[in-house]
Amino acid sequence: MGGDGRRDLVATGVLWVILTALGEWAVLGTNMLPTLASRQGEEVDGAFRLLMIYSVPVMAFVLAVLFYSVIRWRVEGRPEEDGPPLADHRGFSRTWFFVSVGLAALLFIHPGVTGLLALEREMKEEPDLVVELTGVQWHWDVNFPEHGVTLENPPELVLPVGSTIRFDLTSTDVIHAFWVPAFRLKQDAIPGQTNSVTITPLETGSYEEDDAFRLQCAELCGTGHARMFLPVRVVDQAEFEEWLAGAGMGPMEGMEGMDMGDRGDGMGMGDEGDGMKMGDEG
Amino acid sequence: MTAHAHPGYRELHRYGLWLFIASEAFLFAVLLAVRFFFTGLDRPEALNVPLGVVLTIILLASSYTLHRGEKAAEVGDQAGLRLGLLLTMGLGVVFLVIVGFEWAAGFVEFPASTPYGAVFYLITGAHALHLLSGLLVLASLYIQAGRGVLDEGNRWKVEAGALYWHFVDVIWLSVFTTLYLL
Amino acid sequence: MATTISGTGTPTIGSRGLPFAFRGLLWGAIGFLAGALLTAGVRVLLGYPAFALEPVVVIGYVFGLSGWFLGVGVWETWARGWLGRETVAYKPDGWRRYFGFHQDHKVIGIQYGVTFIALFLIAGLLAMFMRAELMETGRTIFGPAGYNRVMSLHGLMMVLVAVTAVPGAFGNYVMPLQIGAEDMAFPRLNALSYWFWPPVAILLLASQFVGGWDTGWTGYVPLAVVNRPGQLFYALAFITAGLSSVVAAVNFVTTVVKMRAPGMTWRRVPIFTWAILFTGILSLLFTQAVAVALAMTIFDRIVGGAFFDPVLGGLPVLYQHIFWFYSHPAVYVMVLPSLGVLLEILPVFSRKPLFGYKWAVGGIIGISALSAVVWAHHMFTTDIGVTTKIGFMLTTEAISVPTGLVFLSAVGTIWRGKLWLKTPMLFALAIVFNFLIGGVTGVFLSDVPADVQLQDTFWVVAHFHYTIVGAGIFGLFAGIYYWFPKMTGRMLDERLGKIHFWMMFLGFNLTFLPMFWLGLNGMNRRIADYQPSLEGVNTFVSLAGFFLGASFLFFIWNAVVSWRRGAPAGDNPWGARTLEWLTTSPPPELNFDGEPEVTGDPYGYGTDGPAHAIVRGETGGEG
Ligand SMILES: [Cu+2]
Ligand SMILES: [Cu+2]
Repeated sequence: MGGDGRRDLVATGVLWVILTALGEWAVLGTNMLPTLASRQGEEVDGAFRLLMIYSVPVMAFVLAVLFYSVIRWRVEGRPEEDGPPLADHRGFSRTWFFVSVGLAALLFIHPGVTGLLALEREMKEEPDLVVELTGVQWHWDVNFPEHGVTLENPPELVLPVGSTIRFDLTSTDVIHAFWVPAFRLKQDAIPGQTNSVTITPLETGSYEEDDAFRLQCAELCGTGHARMFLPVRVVDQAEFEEWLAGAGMGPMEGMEGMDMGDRGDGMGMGDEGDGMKMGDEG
Repeated sequence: MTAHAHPGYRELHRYGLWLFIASEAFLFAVLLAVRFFFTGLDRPEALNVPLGVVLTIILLASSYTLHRGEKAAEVGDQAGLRLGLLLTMGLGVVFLVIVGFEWAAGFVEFPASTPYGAVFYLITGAHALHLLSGLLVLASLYIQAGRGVLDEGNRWKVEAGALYWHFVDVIWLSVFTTLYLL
Repeated sequence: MATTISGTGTPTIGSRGLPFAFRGLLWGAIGFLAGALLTAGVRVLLGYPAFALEPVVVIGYVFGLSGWFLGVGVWETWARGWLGRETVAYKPDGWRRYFGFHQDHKVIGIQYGVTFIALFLIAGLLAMFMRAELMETGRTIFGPAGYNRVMSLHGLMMVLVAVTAVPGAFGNYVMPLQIGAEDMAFPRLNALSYWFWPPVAILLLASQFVGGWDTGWTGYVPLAVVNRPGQLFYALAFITAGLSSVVAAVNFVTTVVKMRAPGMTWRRVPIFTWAILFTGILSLLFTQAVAVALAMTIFDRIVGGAFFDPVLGGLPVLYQHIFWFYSHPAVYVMVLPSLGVLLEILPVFSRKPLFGYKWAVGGIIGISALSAVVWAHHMFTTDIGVTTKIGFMLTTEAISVPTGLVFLSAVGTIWRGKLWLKTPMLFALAIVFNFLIGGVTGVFLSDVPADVQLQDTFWVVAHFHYTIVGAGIFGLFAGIYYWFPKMTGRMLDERLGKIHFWMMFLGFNLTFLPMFWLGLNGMNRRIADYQPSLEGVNTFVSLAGFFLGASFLFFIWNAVVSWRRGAPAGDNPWGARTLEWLTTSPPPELNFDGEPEVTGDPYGYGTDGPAHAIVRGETGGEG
């Protein structure tokens, strides 16, 4: 019994190594993430990639045992006899336990705590620009307090590349959430409180070219939730200031008819009629 | 027919009732936690603490009368049991009436649209509902005692009703402490 | 009401006339009207207009629920005793026994099983409509308002199915058999816990006539306070389901602790029974929290309370704390019983002892204990503070250790076994595969830096479907294929079973694996429409989803035909050692024809040790 047992161990080990190698090759060789356009997002992507790298050998181990066992020990028809009475194996079980404790501790410390603290440091950084965002069913209102510019349900949000921007988030009705996929960080906009998130865009880009550049509401907020998004355009400082000056003076040219309903991007969903009665009671 | 070696009826039911009480205790633990999480230690001036003390005394007295009734039942004194149940129910009703008056006064001073008011009515309301269900249990025991069916074999019913009632009283003590004193 | 005297001389009811369930509907309606009128009367006395929908519904419902219970059989079998009168038994024969207040755990197990399969199929059909809407961008069939309603109904129904189906069906049917008991500790409470469910179904149906609700199953405030009246029905349905859980949990825990056959020490308790015990403990304690959260929502809706309205000083985030304090343990209520089924099945079809029994039990206990202290991992984006985040990240990542012990037991059991790949075993192996993916992707969500990107995206949708469907629902079907012979006395068809399995397994993975990619690439959850760049993958997911949906047609066909005409099963078709197989299929009224006594290990395959149990006073009891 012991003899072929060893051969099975070796074979499963080899399978494990092969699966791990294939998995790591796939993880390292493909980019599963959308465009990254913020400095803070690097922390997020780093954590994600690291967790991927960690999880491959863990998954590969269980899968190797599963696949090997099914192929090696499947029995056609009803088994005539029982398998070996292997009720436990102290060494193996303890190793398993301590390895899993170690892995959990490792993940907790890095990328968990390290990443979290790094992000928190970024969040406390002195901003170059403050943007107040207010979620309203179902659009975003934008205010640039330092410039005295307030935009109600604007057609797009333009941000300067390279500056550190603090977004102060709140809501007038229900919970919404701030999420620009290209910037990575998500933060809830909750009525009655102001949550902040600090982001430094590192790349220019716009929704028209890449839909990761959009401020998407990410907390279910009622009928219009799906299309409660605001296209984001990251531009250089000069262009931003020009936009801000224009925006501050009133509706910009060419922007009429660009409200949420018919942006002409296939997102027109009509059908507000039977959902708009919310809030008409007490 | 088999005679399995399982525990006696009373032991089994007692265990089940204690589990249910544990679950109910969790309910009130969450409710009382809400009070601290939501309103901190703030408490409106208008809260009638002496009335709360009266309520507490009434419930403690009701636990005592029920205890007497239970003791009477143990020696087969059905009339004593019925008297104990009747007194307890009376005190329970008085308690609910006073809570009703307190609510009526409270609606003016700290309505449900204030944080403390919301907490106050939710918690005292949850307690009052439990007390009301306790009253129904006692009323059922009273009827059964009247029909003479609460004999030796049905002693558990009295014990269960009493245990539940005492539990509701203990809950009141924690509600009173949380809402009136802290 | 037909009161007859059966052959044995015990007064019984329910053997003729209209089934009691119909009388329950009638009495429930009468109760509802009485409650509604009472509310209207009180309102007039207090100087309010007589009619207001939500107060009338709440009070009417309380009375209606009482009427329903009395009508369905509580009156004759139980409530008469509260008035000091004689009670009678509800023991009709044949199909009638399922339509009234029957107290046999085997009847109740089948009631639960059939009801929850039906609810699962209906909620699954709703998912088909959702995937139809998401086939293409733009409006496909019902647009955003309709989609949100259907999504919310799908979510709540499936959550209730996942929480209830396995403990309801097998916890009731199998667990008392496994521990050698005649019945559950409290048969009347057991029936009560089942008969809560038709009112839940009626509320969910009724909610759709007042506009439904669109907050998903989580019912986050303030949306749930300012929403349509359908939200009230949601809250009442959820609370009712919770009451059923608490009642059932009292029964499960008492039964496992107090009713085990002689000789069944804690080290000889079958692993499924362990899972049911801890499921019971979790439901017993934590269900109360969700009742509080929902009661606060109802309070705010009806009396304009201040809990969640920031203008009045309310705290919307408070709801999330209370809600997840229940709902995270609830996800283990959904998964633990199925992990129990998994570890029950693997030794039988590997012909080996359950590997690391003590580690597996420790895993179940560890998961249960830790599940109480992880709730705020759902709230990493609500600004809960760094220390809180670190604490909840730690507890959440720690839960991977006891979960890993379940995997240890699973892979250790199949290693060098004699793997008999019947349908129950295929489902069990699929659980290992699916739950592995579900577990590992959950680690990403417990990690704050990764979670701020992944939260509220399709990554989450994929993750929890991998755990709750991939383990929970696969466990339900594993259990059905395994215990159906015991419950009906007939085998399910193996060929149809394998078709069902392979379609479900492939359909499931093809549907949910791409959703991880969708989440990473900017598809947030609970949306009727998405960015055009995601259309191709969504179309693929929808088609795979329809394939998954079609797999259940084979199951329904198999179950219906086999129940009537399947091959006779015999007492122990799988050659298992646990006690439920040491009696006839289906078992007699008091479960065993003799007295069960536990003498050894439940999983001692291949060992020379004593049999797990013997049934005294009966021959041929051993497998
Ligand atoms: Cu929103
Ligand atoms: Cu959770």
